[in-house]
Amino acid sequence: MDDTQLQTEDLAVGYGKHLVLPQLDLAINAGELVALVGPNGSGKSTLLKAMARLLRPRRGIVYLDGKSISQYATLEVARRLAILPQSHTSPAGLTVRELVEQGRYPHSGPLRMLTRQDHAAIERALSLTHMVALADRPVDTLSGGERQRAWIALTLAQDTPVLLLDEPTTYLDIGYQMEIMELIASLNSQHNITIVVVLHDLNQAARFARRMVVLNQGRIVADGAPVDILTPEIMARHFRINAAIYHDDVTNTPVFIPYQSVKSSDNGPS
Amino acid sequence: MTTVSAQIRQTKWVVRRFPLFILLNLIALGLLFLVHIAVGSQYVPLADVLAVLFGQQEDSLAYTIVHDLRLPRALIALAVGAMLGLSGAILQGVTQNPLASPALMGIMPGGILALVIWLYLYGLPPTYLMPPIALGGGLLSGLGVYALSWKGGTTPIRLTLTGVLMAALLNAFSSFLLLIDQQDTATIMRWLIGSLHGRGWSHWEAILPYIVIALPLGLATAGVANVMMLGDGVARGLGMPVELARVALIFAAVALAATSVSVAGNIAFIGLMAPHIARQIVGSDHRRLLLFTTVFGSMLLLLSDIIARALTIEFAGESAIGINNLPVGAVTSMLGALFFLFLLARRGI
Ligand SMILES: Nc1ncnc2c1ncn2[C@@H]1O[C@H](COP(=O)(O)OP(=O)(O)OP(=O)(O)O)[C@@H](O)[C@H]1O
Ligand SMILES: [Mg+2]
Repeated sequence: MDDTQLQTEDLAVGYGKHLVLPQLDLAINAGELVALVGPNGSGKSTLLKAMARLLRPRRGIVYLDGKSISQYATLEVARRLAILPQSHTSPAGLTVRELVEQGRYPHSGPLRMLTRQDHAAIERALSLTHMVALADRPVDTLSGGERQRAWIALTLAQDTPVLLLDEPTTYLDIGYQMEIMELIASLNSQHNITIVVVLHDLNQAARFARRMVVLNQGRIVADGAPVDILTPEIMARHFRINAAIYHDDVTNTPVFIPYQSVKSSDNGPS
Repeated sequence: MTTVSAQIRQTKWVVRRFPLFILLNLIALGLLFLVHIAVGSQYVPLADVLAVLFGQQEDSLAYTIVHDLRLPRALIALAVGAMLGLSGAILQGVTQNPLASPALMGIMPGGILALVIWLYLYGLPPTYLMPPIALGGGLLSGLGVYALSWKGGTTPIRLTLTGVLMAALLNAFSSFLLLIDQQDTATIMRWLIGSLHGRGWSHWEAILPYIVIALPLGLATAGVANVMMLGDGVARGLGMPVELARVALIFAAVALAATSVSVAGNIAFIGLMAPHIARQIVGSDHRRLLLFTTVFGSMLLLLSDIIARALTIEFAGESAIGINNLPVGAVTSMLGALFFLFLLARRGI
């Protein structure tokens, strides 16, 4: 029996007059690793921000551990849930370690000094992301991938049972992409952290997540195991590609190879 | 690239040995403090300065000069420099703009205008009333800047632009009152330019309670300022109530800069230069930046006032009185202009 950790109920979110998510119900169970996928502009980041109370919903409720997220003190939310935003600006002159230390703010509060426990969490986050050697470098002097790993470390230092990651593998070379995905998988399986991760690489999503949620134009259009999601129909309808699907025996997961984009007049293979 | 790696190494030394670094700066600050007391229309040897400070020579001429005249001025320079530097560092963080300062953002002009209006309506206020009047003016202008920036929330860039607008408006109004109120020209001018001339124990006693409260308050904002530096979205994600935090940071900056105006006037550029240079030396982490800027601001203002006195003696003679004294605000403006020329030259703009 799964228990729900993060849930949206009748959620509507938008910017100005534009309603990005008209009505969305989604339940994430404790211990799940969910890949959130969908084309550009489909509302993935918007959903993640709304679930992390960074955007105020027009309607509906986000539940965290059974209680409406708006009922929590905001520091309490930050001790239970961490979000890595899709874009962030690194302040000039701040070192990696100083950046990662900020992840302890929800635990230490505005006035207290960092405790030994805080330092342990910071060192752990740095070593998990392989940033120890770069810890004293100013973040704004790092490469795009190194910077991304520094920000992931900040999120990990927060040491929360729920992680929302918006495209954590962007900017990373394939080696680090793999490492970060493995790190995400192990945080989930070893430390039982509930993770929702936005990914554009559907093969990676299928390989590491046991559940994939497809968003298109602000609505959940498919939700299920990778074998149910990586189908020629869904690829054509929601990702505008004609693809062949294979089964990979090594990882025991479906993989696809895109052949061509679907012309907009064309409705894909019938 | 050598410059980058040199910069990294330099930052690392200062970071690793930060307490030592601060100690060295405090020693330098102490030396400047002594020199500041020694220099004046009559030079007092450093040995005599020390003797008086440690309670000897109670009835000598040196005692009168050092204790009654120069010590309060030196203390005020020390405190005002610290408050302006710290205020500027906090403002540069909250606006995410390295060129923000309490003078440019309307805080000091607000304090000045409140004093000028009071002078115009009721005459010169008693010394002990000057800090609260200036604080009131600074708070009103800070509140005005915040309210005018509000559009379902504020943003750093809107705060900066509104602040610059407010400063221009308030300064223009002060200048206008200067035209109307011809009798008090000298007093108003000294406020507008910024001067430490004739500051005594009464001024020190008037400002002391505000120093004791505002300096620790300002330094205590380091943790919040660090999180705010990461941008609103990330800060909110970390559980920071960002609007409340912004109000608190601006309040601390106002409390520091507006009260200092009441004893020293609108001393330009310290609140801009001190944090700017300090950031180059100790980096952006506010736990170090705020502390060092506070010390560095003191050093800058003491040095500026030493220069102001030396120039006064050189050009106006030893008997220079009142209006003939070069105001320290003129020296800080000069240093500020040089500083900007240096920035422009180095960046090759
Ligand atoms: N701050 C904003 N103001 C107005 N509209 C916005 C804002 N942020 C996003 N949108 C719009 O909301 C829609 C969904 O955006 P969102 O960022 O959630 O998409 P996404 O699925 O994360 O896309 P991507 O894959 O490109 O990251 C888009 O149409 C976008 O233009
Ligand atoms: Mg996105």
